[in-house]
Amino acid sequence: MLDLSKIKRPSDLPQWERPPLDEVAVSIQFNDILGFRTVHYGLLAERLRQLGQTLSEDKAPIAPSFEVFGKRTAGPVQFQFQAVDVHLPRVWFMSEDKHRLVQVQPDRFVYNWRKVEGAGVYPRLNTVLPEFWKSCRIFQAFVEEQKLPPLTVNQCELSYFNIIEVSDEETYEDAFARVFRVWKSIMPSRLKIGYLEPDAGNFASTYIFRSLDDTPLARVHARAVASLRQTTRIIGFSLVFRGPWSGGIDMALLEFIALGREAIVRLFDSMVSDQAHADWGRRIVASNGGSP
Amino acid sequence: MNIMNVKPREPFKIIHGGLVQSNSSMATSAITGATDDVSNTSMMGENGRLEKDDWFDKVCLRLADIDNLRLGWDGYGSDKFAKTTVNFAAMLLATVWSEASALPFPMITPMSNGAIMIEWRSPTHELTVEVNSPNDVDVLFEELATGLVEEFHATSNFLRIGEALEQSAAPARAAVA
Repeated sequence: MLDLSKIKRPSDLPQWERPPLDEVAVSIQFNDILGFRTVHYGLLAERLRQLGQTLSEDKAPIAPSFEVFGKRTAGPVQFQFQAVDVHLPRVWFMSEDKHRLVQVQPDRFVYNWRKVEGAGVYPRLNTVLPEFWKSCRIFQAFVEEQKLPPLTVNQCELSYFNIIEVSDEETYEDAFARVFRVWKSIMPSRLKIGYLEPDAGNFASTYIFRSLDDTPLARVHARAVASLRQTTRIIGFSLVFRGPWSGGIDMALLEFIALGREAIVRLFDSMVSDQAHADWGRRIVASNGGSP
Repeated sequence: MNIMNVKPREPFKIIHGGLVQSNSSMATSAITGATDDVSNTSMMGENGRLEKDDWFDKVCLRLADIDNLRLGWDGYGSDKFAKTTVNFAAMLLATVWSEASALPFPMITPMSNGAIMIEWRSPTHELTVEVNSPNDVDVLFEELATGLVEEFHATSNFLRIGEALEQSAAPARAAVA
């Protein structure tokens, strides 16, 4: 049994009383489980019921993706393989209240927590990580029971999806400027006829997470997109930590995911404006490490 | 056969310098609606871009061939190729493209054990990269004049493979200069 309390939250890591966080996903990707069939989803559903995942839905599979690294000057080139095994779906196993979700496909396992229609309080990673661990262990045991090839994890991922509402009085541009420190309006002072009104903006950036000896360990992808949720104007702001993983499903993996949390939180902290920090109640809770 | 239902095959999507986001969200469609390219009418950097596109197109076609191999493709009952391995090989090639572009296009060969072999040859060097599975890559780099062989294993960092490609292409680059 793992002692998850060993995963310490850095004492200087900020927290927000009212974060705009809408969804968190912890994901592992593994080599295709050869021999995984539709019937296994039904058997797995029985096992996941003990966690309260009683609802299920079929979804299109997520394409595999990999973070790889080359020369520093090369920049990111992504090459996405689209031909996934469409004969097997990805299946959602949802809790009754729809806040918690397990997603399974032959090369991926994902655990999500999310708000439902804007309601719900993020239980923080110290709750989500053990829940991921528990459900993942059930899946791993199921794979062993079914005498399928063992899970060979090749990548893990932690994703934070924030939903920032744009007020009725604001343009998208105003909202970007209110929320993001890096956002600057570029306004030509004068045009011959008319003027340019800022309309909507998006931005995306990536960061390589390197160890102190310069070894690349993971990438963090940050992306903000002007969008709509039903009829409400929002900025969707996602932060994704994704890195290769060649080890087992063990304490080291959880520590790597917790490292991803730190990278995401520190990046979020540096990208967001003082006003947004004040609105969302930024604070630093000094502790002796604490739980994750 | 109802030809209306036949879709052209599009095995790969190439995103040059793109930023692929996590798609594990339950609400992906709500927040990832942006497209990377607003317009394709620009001629900026056309030559480099075309050269790169050609190279990537060849990679796509070759890997799609491997992806399409059926069970027993080699006559000895070998399995189909794992899509994760094919995809990982694509990512490796994309990562070393700039170093590899000075060399002839590599041989990309399926192997009976499920690995994908990528071989570059120059007048001075031979570089053999075996993608066994994601994060499991064996590399053999040989200097032909001396017979000196360097063997190493790579996981997700392909910096050394890129350097080996640069070494292989160095005489050709020097001749051009």
